[in-house]
Amino acid sequence: MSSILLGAAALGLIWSITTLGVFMTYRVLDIADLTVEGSIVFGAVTAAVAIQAGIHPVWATLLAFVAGMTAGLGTAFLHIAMKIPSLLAGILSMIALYSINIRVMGGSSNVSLLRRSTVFSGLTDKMPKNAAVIMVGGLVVLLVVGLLYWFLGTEIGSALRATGFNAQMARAQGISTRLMTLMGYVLANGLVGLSGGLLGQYMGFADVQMGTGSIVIALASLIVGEVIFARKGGLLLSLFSMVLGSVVYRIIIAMVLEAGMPASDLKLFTAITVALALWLPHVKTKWSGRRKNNATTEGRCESVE
Amino acid sequence: MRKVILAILILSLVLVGVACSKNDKPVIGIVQIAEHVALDQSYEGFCKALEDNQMLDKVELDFHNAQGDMNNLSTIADRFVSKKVDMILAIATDSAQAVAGKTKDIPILGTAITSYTVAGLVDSDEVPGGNVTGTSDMNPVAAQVALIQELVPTVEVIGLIYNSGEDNSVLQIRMAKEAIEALGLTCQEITVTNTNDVTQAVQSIVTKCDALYIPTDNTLAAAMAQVYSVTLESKTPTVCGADTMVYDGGLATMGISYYDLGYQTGLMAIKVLAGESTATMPIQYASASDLVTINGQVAEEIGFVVPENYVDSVIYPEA
Amino acid sequence: MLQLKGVAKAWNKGTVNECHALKQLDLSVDDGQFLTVIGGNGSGKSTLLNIVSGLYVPDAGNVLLDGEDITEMAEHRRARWIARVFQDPLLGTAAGMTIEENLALAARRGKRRTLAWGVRRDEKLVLRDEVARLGLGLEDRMGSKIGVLSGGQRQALTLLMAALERPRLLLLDEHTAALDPKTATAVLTLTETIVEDYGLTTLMVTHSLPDAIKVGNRLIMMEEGEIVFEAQGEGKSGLSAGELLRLFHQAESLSA
Repeated sequence: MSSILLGAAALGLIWSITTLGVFMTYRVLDIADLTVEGSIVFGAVTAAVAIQAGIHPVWATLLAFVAGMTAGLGTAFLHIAMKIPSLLAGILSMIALYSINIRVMGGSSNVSLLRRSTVFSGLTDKMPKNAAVIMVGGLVVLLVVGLLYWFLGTEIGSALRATGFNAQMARAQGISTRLMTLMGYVLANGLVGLSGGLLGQYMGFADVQMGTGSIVIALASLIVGEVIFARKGGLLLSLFSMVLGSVVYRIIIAMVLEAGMPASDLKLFTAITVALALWLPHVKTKWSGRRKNNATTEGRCESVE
Repeated sequence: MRKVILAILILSLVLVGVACSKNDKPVIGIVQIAEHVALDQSYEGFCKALEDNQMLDKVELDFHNAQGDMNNLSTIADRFVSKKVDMILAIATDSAQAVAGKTKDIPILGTAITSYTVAGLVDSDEVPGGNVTGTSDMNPVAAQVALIQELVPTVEVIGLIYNSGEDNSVLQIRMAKEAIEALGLTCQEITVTNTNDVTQAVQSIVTKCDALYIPTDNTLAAAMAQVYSVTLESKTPTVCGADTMVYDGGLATMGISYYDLGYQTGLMAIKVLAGESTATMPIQYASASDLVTINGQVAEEIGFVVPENYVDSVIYPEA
Repeated sequence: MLQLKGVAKAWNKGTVNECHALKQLDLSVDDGQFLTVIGGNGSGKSTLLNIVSGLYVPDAGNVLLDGEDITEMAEHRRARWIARVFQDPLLGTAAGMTIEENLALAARRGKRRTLAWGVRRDEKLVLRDEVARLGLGLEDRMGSKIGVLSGGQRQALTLLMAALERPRLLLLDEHTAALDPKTATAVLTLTETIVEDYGLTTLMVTHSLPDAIKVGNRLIMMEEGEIVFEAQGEGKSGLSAGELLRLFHQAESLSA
């Protein structure tokens, strides 16, 4: 039992880095970026091939981050320079990355890491694998959340956020929205690549099919996280809600599988959960709108999302 | 919504508690990466081996299909480890890699895996050295290529079609090319990336060859209907890597049946349950490799005359 | 300060829908002038503003700011010297960020942004004082998200943000048009105060004749891409709305 929960937590923590990446593009910049499905595998594959080539796992993992950033750069180029709509740009990148990933693996569709040392190897002799992953993964997540929170509060980070909220206004304030969008794409996919690098090392292999459905997993985790924290509070809380959402999502899946649901029904289950989670805030507003008394405080006229 | 999530969590925990009941029988956890005729047959063969040796009612089988999702593989593996199953049957490479990554103690029997060494599962085929052993579905490629020449003596150019993204296929094609060269013949090849590309690829290759060879490639195996409709028109004899592909529209094959391979794995499993060590149990290859299968309906439709010595090998799949 | 020479812009050239928004426009705005621009729909007044701000690039002609040719310069680069308030009150501020953050963004208009912290501690007091100038009580709510404010409040803030870094040129694009009469008046009064206090050169596009007469020290009327009437100082403030309307119709029928 504990192994199942620990496994879900470990997987959830690793995936939370992807969710944070998707948070950057989807929530902060308001762009639907499907590159994720390709960049997560690109990260996994880069780390795996690097480790097989004898590079130290920590450097290999950082390489995965760089790989992800490159993927993001590609999509940014398609969207910003070639003016391809963001949804299509992401899909094109995702498709291109499939071929690239196989090339990186030297023509194979699978690279094994079972007999190699990984970032988790140092701890796996002393404790069960899942616990080791939770520790290392947890550390990386803390680092990522900390860095993201700091970055988004800087002048450049604020400019990036402004671009996502209101590009016209951002330009009027002298912000190059093209540059900000590029930065967003690169940073977000870098995180996704990093997540992929860790994922491959956790599973023990990198496979070209690993990324299938990852945008849905990330979005589901994002939404579960936001619903739990009801979108109140500041940026730091939002970031942590991404992490929690990813872990909770994985735990729910594990529990549901354990309870006997056939794996083939999981996608339907995910779809229903996400739909419900997206719908509930509207139901909540309707409900509380009726019960609240009608006295309005001065200055509170429109409430704009 | 918070309360709803909490309710789901509690409910699931309760259900789990009910599901986790104590059991005295040894438990075999079975994990399969996805639905696929060959993989399903492996499992059937495995069970039959247990049945034939009066073991089926002495063990508990815990079967899970990951539906193609690697994350599910991870969760299923966690479950096996948590339940401390006595043995794991891993069907297909990804399944084996996922469980091998989670446990070094529980014995793992693999099947429908082509190369254990490339997959990082064993130190060597002869002496695996760890908790993993099993059967390899490497098909006798050279013998199959020779079969082409036997069935179509006038053949000069052999066409090759496969998904370049599948490791197993790349390996088999390399072996095929060696065999073709050794026979003094030439070849033409074409690749696909998914089932959508198959029809066009086949249409292209049949114009360039006298006969077609398809290895045990998951993509092509899934798209045999498309291959069949094209080769029907072009009357191209098609030799495949597995009998399931012949049932789906290929002309002939020689070699492994996933069912038999699964059966072989079952026999190995019985030995492991009895106490033999996986570390010293070598990887086994298909033993019955002179099994020829010819699809009689396809033969008639393309005007192929079945040679005398293979008349007994003809099958007519039900429509 | 601002010069437009022979600026022309046409849409859908070569098609049935061809329309010349601006025809060979020449305009000179001196330092310290407060110019109001009126005209009917399709007169080209918005296009004029958008060409100055950089949203559109003219087909012909030049735009010069203090002698420097900025005709082709990107919008966000021009923002260093040119500030803008939009017609849509929602466009001028970022709804999901706080008043403080929005003002901090405006304070950095034209400056290179670095990895320094977005709102510095010493800055907070300065910004608070600026917001207090508006007299709307918003300085007590610096941490509130813009999204909960009314259109009028947001427009007032946008105005403040535009004027904060003393731009060389302030562009007002029918900025009271989407507000209710009471709020519109308040924002207009605020506009006059800020322009006077900060000594800003301003270009205000409006469709309200009374506003165009009352505010500013120079007025131009546009019709079909050309300037058809101009008034300054006494000649402007002495006008009545009725007279202006007559002149307006005259210009319309002339060009018809």
